[in-house]
Amino acid sequence: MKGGEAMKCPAEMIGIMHDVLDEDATKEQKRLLFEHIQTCSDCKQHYEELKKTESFLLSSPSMEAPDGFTSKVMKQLPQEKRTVWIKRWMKSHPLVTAAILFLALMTGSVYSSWTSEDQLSALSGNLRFDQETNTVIVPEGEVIEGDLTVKNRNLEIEGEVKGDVLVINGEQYMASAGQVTGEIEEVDHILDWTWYELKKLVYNLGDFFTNEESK
Amino acid sequence: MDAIVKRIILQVRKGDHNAFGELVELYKDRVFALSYRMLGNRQEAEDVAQEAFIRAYTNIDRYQIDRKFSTWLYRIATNLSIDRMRKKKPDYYLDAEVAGTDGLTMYSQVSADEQLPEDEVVSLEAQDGIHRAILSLPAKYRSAITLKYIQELSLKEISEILDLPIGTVKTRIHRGREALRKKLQEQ
Ligand SMILES: [Zn+2]
Repeated sequence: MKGGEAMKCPAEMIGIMHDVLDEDATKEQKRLLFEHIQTCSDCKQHYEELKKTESFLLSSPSMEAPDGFTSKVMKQLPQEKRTVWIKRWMKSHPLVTAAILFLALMTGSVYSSWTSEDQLSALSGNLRFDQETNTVIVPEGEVIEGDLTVKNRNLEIEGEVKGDVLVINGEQYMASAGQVTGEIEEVDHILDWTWYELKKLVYNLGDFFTNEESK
Repeated sequence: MDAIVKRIILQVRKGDHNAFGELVELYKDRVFALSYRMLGNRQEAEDVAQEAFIRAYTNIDRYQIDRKFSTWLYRIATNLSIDRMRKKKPDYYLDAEVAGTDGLTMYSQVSADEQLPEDEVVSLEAQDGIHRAILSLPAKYRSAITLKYIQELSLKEISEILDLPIGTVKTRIHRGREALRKKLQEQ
């Protein structure tokens, strides 16, 4: 396609070759190319070279990550979230868990946090509040990025929550279009609430233990 | 496959390390191959691939669950590889726009003078002509070619990974392939 040859080659010929390789050419373009390379040895060679290049590219050997790759990644991850750790810990230490539950009830802190004021928390997003029915509404089309906690109010989900939903002492209603990515948890009784608070308590203990272990 | 990956990701979002290990196992070979073809050095490729997974873990809340996970992961790995390439050697002259055939001729003269670091010359993989040719491409063509041929992705997926219009991706693949053709003829 150089010098005098360029005169008889349509300018778009090389572009068509690439489109043919990408299976992106029209029938008309294909016909144009294959007719042209019948008579033009330069373009024929160019096209053959491109096809050879492509076959080299496609035949490059598949690769495997080095040995121990996964464990090296795992060692570098930030510490596991404590909620996961705590669920495991509570399962394997039921007696200690029961003892802590008893202590927690005795101190009364759980009870006071149960009766404390109404609460609503979400990281982002627009929520509506219906005074009459005491209902917080995630409107249709709205996306809440993260967890949503509603206390002493009802919750209606018409939009989407990308996280866990926690409804404390209220009712949760999901519209057919509503979506929740994480878990929905309803806490309706003081016992459930105790359990929930307990998890937070053990969470702090867990912190203490993991600090001890890392010494 | 997608359903399994999504279930694993929901566990990872709750902070489950072991679930993340499953994701690493699923994608490690492809992420390593991507960074290796981009960087041409096993040690650097392993560093970058590991960093890609760590970033995926720490940013997992930003991943949109309705999109393809591999697209998001490859995007992290591609960007890290390009960053690493730029730090490695100042190849600003290679990044100049390659326009048409004239530009390509100029480019191949420039890259013929470029010396590969010693460890790349001696490594067996680098003997492979096509691999060397890919490594001589400027970052923007190298990434497009690698995603298309090593990862065998569609133009649409490549455009999402590189955050470029499909038309631009096509142009980069065409020019990259054209430059490779020239390189292979020279070898
Ligand atoms: Zn011709």
